[in-house]
Amino acid sequence: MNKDKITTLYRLELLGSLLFYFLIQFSSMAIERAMPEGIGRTLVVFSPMAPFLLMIGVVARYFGRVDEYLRLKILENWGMTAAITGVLTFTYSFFESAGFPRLSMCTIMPMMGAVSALLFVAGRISSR
Amino acid sequence: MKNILRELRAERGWSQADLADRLEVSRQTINAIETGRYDPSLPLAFKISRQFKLRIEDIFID
Amino acid sequence: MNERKIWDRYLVVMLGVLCLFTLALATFLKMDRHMPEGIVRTMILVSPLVALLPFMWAVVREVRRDEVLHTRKIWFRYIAELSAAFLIYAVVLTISLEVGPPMSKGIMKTLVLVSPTLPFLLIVWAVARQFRRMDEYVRLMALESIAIAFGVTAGWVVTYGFMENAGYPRLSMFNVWMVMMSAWAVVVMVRGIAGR
Repeated sequence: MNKDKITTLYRLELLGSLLFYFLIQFSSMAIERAMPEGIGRTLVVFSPMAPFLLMIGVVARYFGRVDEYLRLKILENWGMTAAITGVLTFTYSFFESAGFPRLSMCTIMPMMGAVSALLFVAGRISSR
Repeated sequence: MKNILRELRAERGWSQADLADRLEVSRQTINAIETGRYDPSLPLAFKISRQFKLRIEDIFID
Repeated sequence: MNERKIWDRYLVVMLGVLCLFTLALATFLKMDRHMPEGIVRTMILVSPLVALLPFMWAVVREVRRDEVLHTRKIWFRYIAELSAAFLIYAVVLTISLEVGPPMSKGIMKTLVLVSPTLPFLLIVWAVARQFRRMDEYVRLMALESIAIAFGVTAGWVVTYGFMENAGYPRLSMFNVWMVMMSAWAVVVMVRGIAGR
């Protein structure tokens, strides 16, 4: 598979699974409010995990298909994202002890994605 | 990548640690290169070839 | 020579586990806001840093047994920088925990309680400097370990996000960092033992 096909396929797969995730997530949130406590409700609440794992699979397949330079760049990006996310969450934990409210853990994942995307964009800009 | 690093070392009586010291890398790197788990970067490959006074193609077998 | 190195490796793992246990204890207690103010609470919160000392001693012992001079020099410099940064962090943390809570609400109180962030950045900087000094293979291994730990942490964050939707309470953000550090430590220790 040549490089352009890999990239376009990856982007399509990622977008598709992202849309699929949003679909499942919002419908599960709408359904679970009306459901009684029990195993059914737990399954509905956790159902968006499946498209999320699908997204991870898409990224992993892309990682396996690209050449070693891109792989190194991606690993470096994840390392930086991990460091920045760690610093941000750790700093906020100090703010919490100063009286700020506890945030939901759901806010961390989009933040990680945003940091990673920003780092990729910054990398492309700086290599011009 | 297959290489003759171990034989070259034995000829000169160097241990992995000796070679690592000369090349200014860690012993794990030398071990990984010898067992084929890791291919050295170009700068490191040139350092190795200069150390043994051989060409890179003579040390690493494609 | 090899046998001593193996025993050193196990000593590092044992003390590392002790460190993680103290860390988990402190995290759990920090998340519990009903602890009474005072010197006992402060000491418990700083205890993971004290537990690091025997761990660092074991690591220094292992580095001393490495036969390559270049590696020894790099790691000793890293341990020195990291220990200095941790010391400054511990001091600033203890002071902020003693002086901060009794203050009246306002900008000054927030600044005092947030002040340990700066020595924390020193710690991160010490780690980054070591990354630059490491040779290529060791750097790749370290990067892979961090990526695996990051993956585990992301998995935990997503899972708990779903559990929150199912009704579990919100946790302090502190636990994200603790999970990341513990996952990293476990990955490094497992790879160290398995790689031999």
